[in-house]
Amino acid sequence: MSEEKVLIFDKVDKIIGKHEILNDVSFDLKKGEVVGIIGSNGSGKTTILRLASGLSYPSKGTITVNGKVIKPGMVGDLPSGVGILIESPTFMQHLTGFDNLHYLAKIQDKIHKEDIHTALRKVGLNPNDKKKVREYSLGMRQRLGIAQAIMENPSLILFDEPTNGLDEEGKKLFGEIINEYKKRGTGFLFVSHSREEIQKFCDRVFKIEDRTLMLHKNLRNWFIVLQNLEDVEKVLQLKPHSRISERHNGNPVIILPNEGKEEVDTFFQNLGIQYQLLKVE
Amino acid sequence: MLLFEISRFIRKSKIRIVIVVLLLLLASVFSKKNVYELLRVSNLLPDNAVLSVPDFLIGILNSTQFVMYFIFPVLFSILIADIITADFNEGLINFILPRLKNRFQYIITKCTMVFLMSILFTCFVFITALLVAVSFNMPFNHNKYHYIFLITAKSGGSMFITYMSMVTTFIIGLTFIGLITLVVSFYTRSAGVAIGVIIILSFIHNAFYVVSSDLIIWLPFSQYIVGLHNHFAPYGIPVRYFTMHFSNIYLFVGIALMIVLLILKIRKVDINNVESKG
Repeated sequence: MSEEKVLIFDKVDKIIGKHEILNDVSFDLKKGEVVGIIGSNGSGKTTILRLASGLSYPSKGTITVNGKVIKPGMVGDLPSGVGILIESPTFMQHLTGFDNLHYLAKIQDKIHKEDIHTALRKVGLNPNDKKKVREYSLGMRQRLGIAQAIMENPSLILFDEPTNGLDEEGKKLFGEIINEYKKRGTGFLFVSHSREEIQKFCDRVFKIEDRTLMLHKNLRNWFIVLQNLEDVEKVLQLKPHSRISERHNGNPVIILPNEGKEEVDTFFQNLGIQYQLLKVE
Repeated sequence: MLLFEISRFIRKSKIRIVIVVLLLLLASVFSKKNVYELLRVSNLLPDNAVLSVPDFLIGILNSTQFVMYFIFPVLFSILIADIITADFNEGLINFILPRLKNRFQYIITKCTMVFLMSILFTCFVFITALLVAVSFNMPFNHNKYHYIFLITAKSGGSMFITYMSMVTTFIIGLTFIGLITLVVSFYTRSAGVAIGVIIILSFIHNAFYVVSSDLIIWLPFSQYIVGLHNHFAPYGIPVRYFTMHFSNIYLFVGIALMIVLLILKIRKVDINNVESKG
């Protein structure tokens, strides 16, 4: 993973009217990294996305997106190379999903119809569907919003409650999109009120507490392939909450629930047994 | 972004455009009698003379009270009042702005849209007027009686230049009216309030006109009526400095001021009109 940073928040404050929404928020996001922000409703999560996308400017501190400092300046500077899905996606209701994306693509005019088709297929929507957006379900709108955010291959994608309204198939497709774009070096910033919803996609998770951002342990379920049953026994003794899963290529698999990545690595290194990470949920 | 704006506007506003064209058609029918009566009471039209198409077209663009002070500004504001507020209300602004280099680009595109719409509106005005003229069998080549023709001929001016001046002033005047509408709608975040302001301005213009106050030369809608200027006195307003030069400066300064007001507002504003969750 490259260390090149696509997004930097440096001591950012945001005050709206007399209300301080964010105070001294600092974090960064590297190329190909997925960062999540969790917090309760009204905690300022969406404000962070607004600030990163140029829909709002910081009251104090600096925000850098793809090397460009985002400040009002003379003409209201905006970041480039950003895809965004913020709040409930609202489209032109009387148009089809494809037509909506086609219209939006005309703003930058840098992609072709085929790119829009590809983006729609990735989220599981039929590009030739003649159904108007007003007839779309919440899940379909969310899928269209995701397609809208990824279609121009931005280097930074900002998602607000990305899995909102998605069914299991939609969540699976969303996970595949994240993996594909991560490999290309796209950085992702997710915000959600639900830790469970986003932690499985994120490399790091922050939590908004008292208007500022704290690194939150990204606790996930780790599927580990071990060499033999003796190793499984050792792990079960030391980690009584762990569970045995289906074998993988004949080798035993154990699930370590609610663990951070560093804890898992340290645990197996101290134990001195060979292990292989199968998947994380 | 202009391509996006134009195609979106046409697709979204088809019904509104049709309604505006129908109202322009009605206004043209009304203006036929109005222009005729105006020339008659001004003793410009001999008995049993018929109104020609050039007289009718020039007459419409100089029908001060009802058409130029009320119908055209209000219809034009209806056409363009929501081109910014709709982006906010529909939430599309969240998709549009991150695709632009800066917010200035957004505002300039909207201003360009207003200018293009003023050209389109001018075309609608001429097309509907010609439709009415053809429907009422008005002659195209006939004696011309409108005071614009008489005074231009008397002063040795070119009628072509007068025509061009009238059309360009009309387009620039509409652009100014459109930008006033846009500023009010953007600052109040309400297209309805903007249309209301234009209606109120129309009444103010009419009130000043009825009481024959010279202060009317300082009002915005007076600037795009060529026949109202001092050059065409006694039919125009006999104030020495109320010339086309005066109005051109007024309109260009006004347009620049409106653009500055729009940029000042968009430059730093938090785009948060869309319902917020976080």
